[in-house]
Amino acid sequence: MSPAAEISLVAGRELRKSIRSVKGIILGILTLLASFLTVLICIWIETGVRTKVGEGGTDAFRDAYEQAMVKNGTEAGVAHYVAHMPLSLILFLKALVWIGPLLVAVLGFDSVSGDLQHRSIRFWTVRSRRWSYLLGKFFGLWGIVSLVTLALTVISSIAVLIRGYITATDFFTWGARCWLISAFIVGTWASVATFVSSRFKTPLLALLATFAAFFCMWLPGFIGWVSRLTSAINDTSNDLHAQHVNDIRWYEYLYPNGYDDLLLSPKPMHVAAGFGACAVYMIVFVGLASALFAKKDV
Amino acid sequence: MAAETSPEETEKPAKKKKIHESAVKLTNVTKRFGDKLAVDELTLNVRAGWIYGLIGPNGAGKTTTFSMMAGYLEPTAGQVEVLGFQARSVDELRGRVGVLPQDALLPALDRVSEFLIHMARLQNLPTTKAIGAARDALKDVGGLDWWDMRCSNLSHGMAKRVSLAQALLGEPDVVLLDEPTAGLDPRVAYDVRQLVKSLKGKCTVIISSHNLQELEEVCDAAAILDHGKLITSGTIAELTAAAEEIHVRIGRATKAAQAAGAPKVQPIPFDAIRQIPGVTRYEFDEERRDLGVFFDRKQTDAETVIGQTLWQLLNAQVRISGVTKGRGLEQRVMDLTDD
Repeated sequence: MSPAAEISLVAGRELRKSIRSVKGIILGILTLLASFLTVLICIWIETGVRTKVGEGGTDAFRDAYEQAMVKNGTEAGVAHYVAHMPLSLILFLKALVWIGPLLVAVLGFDSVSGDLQHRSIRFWTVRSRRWSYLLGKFFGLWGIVSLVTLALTVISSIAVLIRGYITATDFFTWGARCWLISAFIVGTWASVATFVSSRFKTPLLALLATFAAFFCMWLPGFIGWVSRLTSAINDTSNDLHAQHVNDIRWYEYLYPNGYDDLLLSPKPMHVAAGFGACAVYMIVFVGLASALFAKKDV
Repeated sequence: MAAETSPEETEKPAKKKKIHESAVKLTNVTKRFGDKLAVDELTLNVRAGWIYGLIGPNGAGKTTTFSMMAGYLEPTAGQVEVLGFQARSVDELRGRVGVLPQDALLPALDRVSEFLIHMARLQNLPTTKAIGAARDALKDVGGLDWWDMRCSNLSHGMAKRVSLAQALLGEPDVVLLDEPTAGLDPRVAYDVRQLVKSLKGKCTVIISSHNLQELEEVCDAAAILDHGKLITSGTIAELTAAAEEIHVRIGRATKAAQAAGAPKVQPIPFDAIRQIPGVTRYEFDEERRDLGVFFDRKQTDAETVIGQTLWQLLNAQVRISGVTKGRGLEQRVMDLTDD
């Protein structure tokens, strides 16, 4: 049996389990409610920005937004690109990359540790390569959280479409792109959660360790953000977003939620760097988890 | 310590399978948990087709040994081979080894059918065959009615049998069973024993258990472990010395006879018993009223000695409570292990 077949069997089971577990259903409903609220807030913010700019129509608003960015020193091409991003969707994406790790932690903390605690893992280890099992768990977790983010992205896109802030084309292009970005970032968090879960036999400890690991990943991003904010305050002509993607510090790569700016950038190199960073994260953590798990006594 | 024994009677395999001569082989296997030595240079060789018992008191290293055979634990030193492959060679052993872990819980959310089909699919069976194999295995353990039940709703006994069903999925060559009847009611335990007996000759079964009567009943051979070391191993007949000694439990005189002045136990005709051809010596434990008669297996057999000993005892009007061939596995284990 090929490893791919093993992985797909384990991942498929993980997906089914998450969808019908009480925990999964309650989390799904809560996430939907919270996201609905977030969409409303995003629309409210966009409405406020449009009012401030003084333009109600989408095209007029974009032109005004683009001109304002160019005036602040942003490259014309980048300003045009950024101005044509649906602001509500981008704001929602920013919210989504925060929701993602929370979902990953809550849905994934017991994915392996639960099996280790009850020794159910023993039913699998005689039939599946350990690394296949672990990859199956990882893809299952990544898949279920990505499905939730897909649902949320569709809902938010429809909401702003109805509101008239995006066109149908934006719905399929920016909506899809926002989801892909959130999904890739979720993958990095899922790889860390799978790694942590595979190291503990007590799910509660795995949950605490997952949050601790996520905090440690958030910290470098926060330090980078504070440093950049300080510099922006001192230099009012500075564009925070442009500075971030052009001058990302090495330690900021430790914080996956910071990749969204790279992945939203019009420059292919930035997008490649963002995808590359996600991939490296996933390979390192899933690879490390697999190597350690192969030697582990279960 | 090395041990290799052969069964006295080998049943003809029920079906032809390409099976390795040595189903499970442990060579100088040691397992440490930190400073604690759980298994100490254990060497065992379990031949294909046997039902083999792992016996020993708590802490003897049975479950650790079993777990290394199943690939759950990595030996600190030494080699564990199953069907000629390393115990953790999943791809080579897929579907050829079935394991009933002692304390692994079934996934609570799964239906019994989903769980078994998933396990069968991981054994590389296509969906249709996997469904068939799952049904067959569940039927074997008498649980076909639980097909649609959630694992969380199964009683302990039912869950144990579903776990046993997953171990038997796809007719594996080697089946490892850890305490297969622990916690089961007598009726279900009996059914499980019958099921294990029915596997004789079809595959190799290794059972780790505290239940010595059960092991004596179902096993061809066994290894007795204590403090992580192999104390002895051999066929059950060898272990119980069934071919070298018999034991007669002497009954007390009736109350009426005692009231009439008869002794509690009639005098035993030791000289006559000693004269039985082939008998080398006898022992009598007055406290337990156990008469042991030892004989040379080359000159006579247990059945002949039993007949002649009973004849002498009955002639001397000694009342008899029971007769056993050999010492009984339980007594043997008590003799060989500490505490």
